Amino acid sequence: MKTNTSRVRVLRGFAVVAAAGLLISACGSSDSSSDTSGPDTSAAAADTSCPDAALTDAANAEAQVNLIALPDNWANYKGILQSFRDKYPGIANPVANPDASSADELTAVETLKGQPDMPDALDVSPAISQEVDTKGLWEPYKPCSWDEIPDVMKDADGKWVAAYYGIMAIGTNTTIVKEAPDSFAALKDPKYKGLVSLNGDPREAGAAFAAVMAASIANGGSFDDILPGIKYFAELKKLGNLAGTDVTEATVISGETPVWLDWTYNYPGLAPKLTENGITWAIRVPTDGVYGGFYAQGAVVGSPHPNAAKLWINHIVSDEGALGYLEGGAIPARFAALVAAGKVSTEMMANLPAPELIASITFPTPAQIKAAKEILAAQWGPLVADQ
Amino acid sequence: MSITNTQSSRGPSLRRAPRLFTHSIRGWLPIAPFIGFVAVFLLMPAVVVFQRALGRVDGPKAPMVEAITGQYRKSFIFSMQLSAITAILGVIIGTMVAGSIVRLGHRRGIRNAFTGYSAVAANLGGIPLAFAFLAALGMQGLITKLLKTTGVDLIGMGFKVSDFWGIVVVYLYFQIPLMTLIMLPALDGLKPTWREAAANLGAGDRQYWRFVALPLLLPSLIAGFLLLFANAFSAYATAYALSSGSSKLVPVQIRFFLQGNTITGKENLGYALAAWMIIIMTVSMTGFIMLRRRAERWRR
Repeated sequence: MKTNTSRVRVLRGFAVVAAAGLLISACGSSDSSSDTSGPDTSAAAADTSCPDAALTDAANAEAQVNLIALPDNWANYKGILQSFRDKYPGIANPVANPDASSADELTAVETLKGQPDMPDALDVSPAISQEVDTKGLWEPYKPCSWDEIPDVMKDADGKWVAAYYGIMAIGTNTTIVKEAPDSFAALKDPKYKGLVSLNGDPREAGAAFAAVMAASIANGGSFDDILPGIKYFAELKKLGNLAGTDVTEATVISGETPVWLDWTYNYPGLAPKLTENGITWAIRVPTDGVYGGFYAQGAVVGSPHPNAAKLWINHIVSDEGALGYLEGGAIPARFAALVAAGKVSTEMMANLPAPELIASITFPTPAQIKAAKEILAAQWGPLVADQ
Repeated sequence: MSITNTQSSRGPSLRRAPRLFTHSIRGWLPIAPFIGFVAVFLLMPAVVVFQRALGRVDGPKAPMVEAITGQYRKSFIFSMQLSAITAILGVIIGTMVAGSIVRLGHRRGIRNAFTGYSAVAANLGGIPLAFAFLAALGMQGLITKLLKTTGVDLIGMGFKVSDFWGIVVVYLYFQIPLMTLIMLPALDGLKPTWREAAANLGAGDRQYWRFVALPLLLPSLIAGFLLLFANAFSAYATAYALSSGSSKLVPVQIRFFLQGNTITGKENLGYALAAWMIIIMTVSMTGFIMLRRRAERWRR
């Protein structure tokens, strides 16, 4: 049987063209959201309520705010996103990539520039917020109740605001480890051999970096001197107490990482899962090293929904947002004002560290953080990781 | 006369024309989409990585130079040590497993079962593998506890899944099956008649292996080693899940620069690390291809 070579060739050509066509159509985006930016907020002369009606109307016209990297159980973002939807039913607030790091957020802003799914508002670590500032990507906006936010938790020009902060604390799975350590010195005890973990690598994760800073304060260092903290962890590793595995919900429940260092606002999120598995836990703020840290939030320049972004920033700083953060165990920026106005109930205070501790927190300046990062990047590898 | 007749009886030269066409553009058309795919997803990103690695120099050293000095040099050495050791162990154990399978080869079922399992296990990596080993050999692992009841205290001996030997054990999980898959066809190529011929000429077991089998298998063994090396060198997700707290492996360190929350503004160094990794991988893969070619010569 003679094969018809020319027909085979034509069919082959069609197959190639069809495959190419399928590829191209699959890659094409089918996003057809309209991204008209509404009228910018005019001077709110007639409307003294805050946020004013013009902003709310413009935001409702945009009908969406693109958020990124807000996990449900991080400082109760699940509740805060829901309260935003309840207050402004016309505005959707999808969260892209909840487990992204702050650096991923910056990358998303740069690569998605001009596209309809570009993030409108960010929540980043102080280190990355400086980077965003250097690149000129913050859209300055002073939310309502700006004056009630302490100076150290906001940018003077309104580029970013820190809506919440937490304290570095030691969490213990008391079902497996009976005695919860309550200081950095206690972590060196031989009974914690192989049981202590950081929440990631300090060269990469903000929470681990803060743990090193806290350890530094506990061992004679300061905001300007992170080296004692690095040496402390080097010693912990030499003693064999420092485990190498990353802390996740699964490792805490399985008991792989029974003693770990993390922000106070990350523990309430774990609570339901831990109780479900019959695990008791204890959270102790180290007595010898109290370190508070905040995350910076702000609107992004040139985003597709600028007014909705501003409404979101308003929301997280407002009473509803602040109470949402409190439920998650984070301390809102306007904590002092809220307590004075009697809006904080005693059960919410239970989730937080003691008031004296909160009052004693100071934050490092951006310059101090930058210097500390550089020392960490140079010294953590040789002193800790390589040993 | 008959010879010249056959030559001249080969019709007009038109009959040779189809052979010419296979060297023309038409011959390349069917694989054009594949070439496009490789160009867009493999070559272009590599070009971008090199561009950014050789790009502007903000610090005292060029990123490409800084990427192989100081602590980064130690990371590369550590990565290469880990890859070399898992590759050597993988070669030895994988070849032994392949040898056993070939010997039991007359039972069809065993060979198919092992090949199927090896194909899956060779590609199982990343976070599921890391957590599986954590569940087995971690602080609260099943096997750790089991061994403790028999008196062997893994943790007391200082074994940790996130340490060097722990990662070696985890990597071997996918290195051994990969080597098995590579060696099966090579060991099949060892014809039993050669063994009989060697025995006929008076060769003992050892001499057979030393002078006949090993030289035949050597190209495949070396090629397998290089493939396993490249495989272990570039493993990222497994390494990250196991030892994020104190990782000295290069792929994880690249993450610190490009995806981390702490170190900012040093992306060029991250790209330089990636560029050096590409260089090392290219060299090893080129070696793989050359030795593979040499191995195939024996089969003709």
